[in-house]
Amino acid sequence: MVVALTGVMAGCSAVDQKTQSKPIRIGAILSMSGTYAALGEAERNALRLEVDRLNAEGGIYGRPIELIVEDDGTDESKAVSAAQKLIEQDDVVALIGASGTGQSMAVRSLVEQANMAQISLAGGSVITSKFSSNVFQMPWPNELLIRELFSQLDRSNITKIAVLSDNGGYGKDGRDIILSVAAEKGIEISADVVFKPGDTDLSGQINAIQRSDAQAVILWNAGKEAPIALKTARDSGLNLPWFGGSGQARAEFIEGAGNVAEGFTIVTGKSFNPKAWDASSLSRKKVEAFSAAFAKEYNKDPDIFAGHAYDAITILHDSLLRTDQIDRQSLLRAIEETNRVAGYGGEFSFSQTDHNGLTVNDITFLHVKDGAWNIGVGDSIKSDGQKSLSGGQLFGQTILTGISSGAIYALIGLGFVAVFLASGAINFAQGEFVMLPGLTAAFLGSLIIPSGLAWPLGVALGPIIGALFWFLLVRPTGQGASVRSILITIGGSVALRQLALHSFGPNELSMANPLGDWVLSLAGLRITSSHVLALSLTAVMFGSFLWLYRWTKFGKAMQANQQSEIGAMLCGIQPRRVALGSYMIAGLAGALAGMLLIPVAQMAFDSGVLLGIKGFTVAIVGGLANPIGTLAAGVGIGVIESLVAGYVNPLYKDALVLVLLIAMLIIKPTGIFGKKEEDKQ
Amino acid sequence: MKSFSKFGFILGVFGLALLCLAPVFGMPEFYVRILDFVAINIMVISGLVVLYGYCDQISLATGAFYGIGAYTVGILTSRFDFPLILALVCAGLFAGLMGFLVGLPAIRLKSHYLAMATLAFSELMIWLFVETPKLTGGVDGLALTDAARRFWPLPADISIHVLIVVTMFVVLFITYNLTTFIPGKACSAVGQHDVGARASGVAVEQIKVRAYIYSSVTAAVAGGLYAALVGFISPQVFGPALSITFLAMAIIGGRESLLGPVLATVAITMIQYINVLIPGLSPTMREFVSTAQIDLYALAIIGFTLFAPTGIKGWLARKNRGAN
Repeated sequence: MVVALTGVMAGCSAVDQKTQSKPIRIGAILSMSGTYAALGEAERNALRLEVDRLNAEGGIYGRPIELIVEDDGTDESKAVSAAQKLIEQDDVVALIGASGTGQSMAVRSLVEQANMAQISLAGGSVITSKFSSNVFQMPWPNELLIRELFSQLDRSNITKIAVLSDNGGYGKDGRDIILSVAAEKGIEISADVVFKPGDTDLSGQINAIQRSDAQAVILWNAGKEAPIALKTARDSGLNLPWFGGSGQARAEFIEGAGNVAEGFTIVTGKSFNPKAWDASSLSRKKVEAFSAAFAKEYNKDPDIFAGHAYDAITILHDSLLRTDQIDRQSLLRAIEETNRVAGYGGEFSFSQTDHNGLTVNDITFLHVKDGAWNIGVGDSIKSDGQKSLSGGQLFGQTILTGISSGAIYALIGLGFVAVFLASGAINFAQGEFVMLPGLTAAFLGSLIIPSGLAWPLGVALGPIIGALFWFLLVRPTGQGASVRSILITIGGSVALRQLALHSFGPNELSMANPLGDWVLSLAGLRITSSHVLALSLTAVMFGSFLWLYRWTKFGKAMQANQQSEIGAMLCGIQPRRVALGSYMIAGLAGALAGMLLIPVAQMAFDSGVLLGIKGFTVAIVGGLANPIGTLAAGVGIGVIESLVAGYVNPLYKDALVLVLLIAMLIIKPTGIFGKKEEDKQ
Repeated sequence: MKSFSKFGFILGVFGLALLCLAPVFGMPEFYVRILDFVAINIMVISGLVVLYGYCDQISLATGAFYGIGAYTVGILTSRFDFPLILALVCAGLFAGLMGFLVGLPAIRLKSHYLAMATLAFSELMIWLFVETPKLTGGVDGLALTDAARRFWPLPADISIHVLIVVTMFVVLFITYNLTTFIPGKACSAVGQHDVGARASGVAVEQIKVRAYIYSSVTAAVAGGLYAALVGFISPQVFGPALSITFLAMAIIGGRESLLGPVLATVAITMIQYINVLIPGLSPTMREFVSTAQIDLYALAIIGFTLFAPTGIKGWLARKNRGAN
């Protein structure tokens, strides 16, 4: 077989060489699946649109451009194999990509070996700061934007700032530059707080900013958590001017933040609001023409990623027209000689030391006014007129937030407890039982359905998902806790995640609180509508479950089933009914947790993994067969998490739970509130 | 039986030589790369064959151990100038220790809890890869120096290829012996019936912990070779999706078999690189294959668990029985 395979492969390699009229091949490595799927799709759409247009206009002196797109799945190894294929098999003259910084860096050595040009669409500073004579970069570098931001701080007489950044590639990159520019300009960093991409609760971070004497907040984040930060700041009465960067230059930011974004200022490329360009400038004309064509073809406006892809092909086209000989090296030289080529990012002029070529003339300040981006700098973000909190009040607030998020963990834990009580099994899809109703409701809410209606629909979806999951997957594997039953819930959890990905896309979704956004002031504590909702619903759910478990026939059946399945069957109990009921309860508890989270946090298709682990930790600490223990453990863990986030380091929050779970399983798997007996098999 | 193993041995040596020499025979480099990725995945799956296939334990941390190996090799070669082979040995030892810790709860827990412990461990490792940027490069990832791949008088690309193929054969040889002889019998006893195995004098807990250690070591060595081959690593590669992929390979391959999972691994890895293997494939088809991959794994895990719990191995066994 091996011999045959080698033979076939050798045969494939004999690429037939055609004559002069053959198309000019350009390779593109984009992330069309995986984490950056949304970026890759926009980029591919822009590239296809432009290549078709350029070819219709005659291509390169009659030779058409042929674009070969490869998907790297946001994965370095796939990026490398795609690059190798494009370079060796397809014999491309230049490479566009990748979408992500990691993938762009991974293909670099291959590009250098082939001595060809790579035009990266990713924003990481490392791409041009670790200079390569072969690699060019399209997005506005963070350094350029941040220096402009600091000159604005100077104009506003701000000398003390708080930095709030994510520790993802974009945020970390920006934070490093902010800290070094601040040191250079003598601006004091009063608070430097970091959060994790995907974090759903930023009250610890906002708490730290409140305790500082900062006069303004700089938020550096790829965008998804920014609305949460603003809402949390508003709810806790933080009243400061906020600045951001290109990370907020996306439609989802204003949609997600709603009216709390009013006054938020960003520094980004002028093309994000083409009116920032002079009416006569070439960039403005090109951006408007491109936007119109893009909107016509794909029924939506291009985002900045589409813009960067447009620039890559524009620069390549310009260089191809200038080069006398179309080969990799000549093209590389021609690209380096690019001078004043107007595109989406601005006017690109490369040199031997500058492979980004954008300047301060290409960027501008924009602020949110009446739900749209206006040119210039905005005012403070308005909190609702409350004064800042004192130290003691902040502490109380931290505890309150902890109790409220702990209540949600307890609900997730209750799902594990219900299934465990009925069948001794652990449902690995419990986290997805939280995510799926939440996302579905948010998706429905984003359509025509009002959030007041989408919310109960989401809750109602829970038991249905639970029942379907049991019918289709759990029931056929039989009763009890076998390895097959674990595998089936693992497979089921991945399937539900993929279902959410394909139905709702890779981006985070959020929806409004059905009770509206209001704040009760009680003894200096600010109790928001989300707190009220979380605490009351958790109380109702646990109360009903305990009643069901202790006082109804179904609960007795559950208890009997847990003690001895055969014994229960002899008494006329149908274990299957009990199991079905338990999955419906798990679905309902999960859906409630999801519907409580979705107004305060955002959720994406993969949010269920960590939520599931947290719920399981709560259930394990609580003793797994003990609903009251689970409630206590949930609140306890929520409070500890909140204290760690507020007073130690917000980044340790998730790791704390993971370490706690592993330690519990090694040292005391029966839990703190559990029974004494060892659960040995 | 004896003549078969002799035949198998000769076949193995012949295959090893042929695969090592593939680049010399003019196999284009991108095919050699895919061959290397197949070989690396086969090493990982060999560990899972022992852990899942024979001991019936589920791990959702395979991707994390693969990442531990990749980062150990990446950090040791690029920051401390370790030679690659030594770094690989360190990766194996370190992962073995971590595997021991993760497997420890196996002594008193059911596999349910253990699967959740591995999931938590996997998330914790990714957190560590991201949160220790001084060591790991954080989210930006870590670029390995070229020195990491130059350890042989041969050119870097060929020497790493030879190293990967040879290591794969060593791992396959060890796994074959482990599963065929007494340890394998003990493992399958544990997998089939705990109490029965204990009654027959099998040290059940020890066997389980050892299986965890073995699968961690193989995953880490494979991950280390991956890092050396690709030359760049970043945290998100080693997430839950990777563990699910390996688990799907093991399940499709079937329990109590080495050949089944190896065949499944070859097939799935080739599907992942289908765009390179079949140049004329239409863009829609390629897009479908790359976006639907995780869907397919999920469906495979569900489908094989429900309808074909014996996997490819069962099919092979039925075919053999038919022939006899």
